[in-house]
Amino acid sequence: MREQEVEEYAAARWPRLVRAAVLLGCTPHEAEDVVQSALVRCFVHWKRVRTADDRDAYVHRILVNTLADTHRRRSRSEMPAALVPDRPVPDGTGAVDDRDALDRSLARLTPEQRAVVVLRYYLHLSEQQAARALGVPPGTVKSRHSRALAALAADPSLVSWRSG
Amino acid sequence: MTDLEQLLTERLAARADVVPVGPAPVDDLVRAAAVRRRRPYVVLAAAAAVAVVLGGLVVGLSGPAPESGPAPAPPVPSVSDPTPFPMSGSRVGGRLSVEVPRSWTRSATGCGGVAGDVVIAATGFVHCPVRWAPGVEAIRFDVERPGAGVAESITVDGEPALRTPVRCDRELGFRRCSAVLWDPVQDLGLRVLSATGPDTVEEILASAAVGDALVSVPGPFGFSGVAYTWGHFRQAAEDRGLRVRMPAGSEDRVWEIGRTTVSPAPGAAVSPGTVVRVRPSR
Repeated sequence: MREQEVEEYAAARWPRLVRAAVLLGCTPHEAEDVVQSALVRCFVHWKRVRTADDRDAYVHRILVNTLADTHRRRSRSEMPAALVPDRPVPDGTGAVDDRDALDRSLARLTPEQRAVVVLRYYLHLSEQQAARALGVPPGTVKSRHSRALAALAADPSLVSWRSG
Repeated sequence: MTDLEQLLTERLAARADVVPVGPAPVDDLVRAAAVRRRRPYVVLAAAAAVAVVLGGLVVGLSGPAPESGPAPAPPVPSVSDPTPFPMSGSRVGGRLSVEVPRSWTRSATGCGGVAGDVVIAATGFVHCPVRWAPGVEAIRFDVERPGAGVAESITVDGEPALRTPVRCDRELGFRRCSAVLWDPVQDLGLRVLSATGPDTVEEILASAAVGDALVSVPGPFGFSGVAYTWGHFRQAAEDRGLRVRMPAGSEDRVWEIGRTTVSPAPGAAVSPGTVVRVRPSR
C-alpha cells in the first residue's frame, strides 16, 4: 500500500517538480538529479510526508533544500565558470526571446528571491505555503517577494519583454 | 493580481512547458529509498570522515570533579565496544532532535555530579559535571555555533544542519568521544558525548530527525551570571509556542539551579502548545 502510494505520488509530481527545479536554476539534467534526490529523501520518511499538513509544501521544501545542498557541493567542486554559463544569443523567434528574457531576469534575482517567485507563480503556493516550503516566516517571504517583484519590474530584459 | 504577476505566471508556465521531462524513474526512486532506510546515517557517517580537531570545545563539560569526589579510575574502555546502544525512547532537542532511552536522567536544573546517562539542558554559566565511566553517555545543549572550519554542512531529512566529526579525548583517564549536531534554524546544538566510544556517538546521531511540529522545552540557556528569573523562562518558553504554568507572583523569582523543577524537562522535544509546569523543587 505504502509503495503504491509512493509510486503514484512520484509519477504524478515528477514533471512539475523537474520543471520547477529548472525554473529554480538547474539545467534539465541537473533538475532530474535534484528531484530524484529530493523524492528519495521524502520516501525514506514517507510517514512524515503523508502526515504533513501540506504534503506538497513539505515536498517543495525538501526540493529547495536539496537544490541548495547541490549548489553548495558544486561550488566546492567545480570551476566558477561552470556556474555562470553564457546565455545563447537570441535566435530571433519570439518564443526563444521570451524564454531568454525570463531566464535572464530570474538569473538576476538572488536564489532566495527566485525561489519565492517560482513557488508563488509557477507552483501557485500562497504566502503561507511558500513560507512553510522555504522554512522561513511568512514575513520573510513577503519581503523577498516584494524585492523580487521590484527587481523584475526594473529589469531591462523584462521591460522590453513586456513592451514587446 | 497585477499585470506583472499575471505576466510572470504565464511566462513561467510557458517556460516550464518547453522543458523536456521523461517519465519518473519510479523503480529507481523506490529502490534508492529502501537502501537509504537501511542505512539512515550514511550522510552523517560520511561527514565524520573529515578529521578536524575540535580544540577546546569539549573540555568544559568535565570541569571540576563533582562534590562527592572524583570518579575512580577504571580501565580505559575499548574503542570498538560492540555493546548495542538501546535506541528506543524519547526524543531530545526540538525541531532537530535525537532519540535517547527514556531511562536517562534529565538533569537540566539540578545538575551536579551526574553519575549516569543524562540529558543536560543547561548551558552557559551553569556547570554540569558528569562522572564519566564506561557506558555513560550524555546529550548536552550547546548555544555556540560550531566554527565554519570545524563543522560540516549536512542534511537531516533534507534540512540543512551542521555537524562536527566525532573526536575522542581523555578526561580523568577515560576516553570520551563527542560530536555536535547544530540546527541553524533554531540556533541550538546537541552535543552527543559518550565514554563508550565513537560508534555510540554515531548511533545516537543516526537517530537525528527534523520535525517541524516539535520545539524544545528551554533551559536556562545563555545564563551568564545575570539573574535568570522564572519570568525569563516563561518568555523563552512562550516564544517557542509553549504554555507555562507556574505559581502566581513567581515572575521575578531567581532561577536557582537545583531548586527548580520543570516538567516536561528542559531539552524534551514537545509539540507547541504543550503545558510546561515550573515549581520549586522539594
